[in-house]
Amino acid sequence: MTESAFAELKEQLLEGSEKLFEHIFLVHFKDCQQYVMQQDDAPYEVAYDATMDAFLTFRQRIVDGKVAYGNLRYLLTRMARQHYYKRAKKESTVGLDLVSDPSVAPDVKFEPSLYDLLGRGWKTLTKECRELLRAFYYQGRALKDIGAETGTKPDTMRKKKQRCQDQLKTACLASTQGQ
Amino acid sequence: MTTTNKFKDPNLTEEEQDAIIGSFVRQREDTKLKKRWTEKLAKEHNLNREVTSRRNPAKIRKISFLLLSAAAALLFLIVFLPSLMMEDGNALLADNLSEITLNGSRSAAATEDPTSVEILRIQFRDNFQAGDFAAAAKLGEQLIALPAVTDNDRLNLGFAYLRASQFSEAEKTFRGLLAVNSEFASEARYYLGGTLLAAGDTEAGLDELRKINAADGGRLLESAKELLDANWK
Repeated sequence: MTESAFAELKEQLLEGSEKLFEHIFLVHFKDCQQYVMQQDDAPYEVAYDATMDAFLTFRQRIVDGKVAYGNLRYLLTRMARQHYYKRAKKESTVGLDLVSDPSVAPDVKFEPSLYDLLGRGWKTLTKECRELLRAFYYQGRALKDIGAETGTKPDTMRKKKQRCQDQLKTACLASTQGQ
Repeated sequence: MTTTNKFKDPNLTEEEQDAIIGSFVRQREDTKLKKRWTEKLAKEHNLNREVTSRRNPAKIRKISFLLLSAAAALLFLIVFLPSLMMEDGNALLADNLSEITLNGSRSAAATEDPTSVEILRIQFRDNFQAGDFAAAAKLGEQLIALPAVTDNDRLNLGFAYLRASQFSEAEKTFRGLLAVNSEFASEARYYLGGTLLAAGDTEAGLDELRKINAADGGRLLESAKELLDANWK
């Protein structure tokens, strides 16, 4: 991939378009999976899952601006191998620097009940709220950039986000009281 | 305290609430992506998570890989050892071709009301940039059949043919641009040379590169000189 193609890939992801990344995923998935199987003698299914994890990590790192242009194939295959080590519980002997970023707080581990609860609450949100939360948390976009599209001030965006979070929490709490 | 109870806690701080909701959104979106990718891999690439054969495929593949590697190395030594000490024109050409970028590519997001030509151009560019050059070439063929096609599209189709190792099609495309004295004639000349070299017609390829001069631009001239100076024996 050329540097300009990489810049465009990043731009598309930040704009919320997964199309180009998905295309790259489909073209390179099999090679990456087979590389993990060959290098680490990994079973097929675990290599499949590790490769899937690697592409998700890779995507998120690009969105977060933590991947610079360079030997991307090498980076991706290393990520896939590290995910394999993690899944195969070999992390005590092998470093996981690419898939466990110490500069980012790890995601909260949910009990399945909370994930379901949030899932139910999510469905009650307006489309605008869902898109705002998705853009902020998943596409890594700043509130001022999201607001700039509609000419909304950053302060108003912060209040909007807070309202959406409150709505989600209220819907979740109402759902538990109804049970 | 469980995360569920923490979330219900009225004294939950803004940062804690942010962490929980942020993690939920990321996990939810990742799960959706995984599901879509899994379906696409199965449907479009016949690649499923479950395998039918369980006879230790990883080991079998590893042994096969080692045997094939040994055979390939032996073959390589027998065939190519005499030329190992020389500067490699083919390696230079391969580097050169891998850096081909499309002319006049445009952002999909910038296109608000795409026509069929624009859609094809976007699909072409996406395939090319993803490294699927054969698919890009097929889309390029559809594109150049449309009336609104430009020489830029033809040049890009030539690039796709070249990267997909469809040398005769690439040659024809670049020659077509030269025949009409296109504004991209310089690029067409240079890549026609590269195509002929890649196809193994070294003399014809070098002849085309010798025709590149200062009027074709410094970058093309310099790249042509590098290829001309390399060892092609």
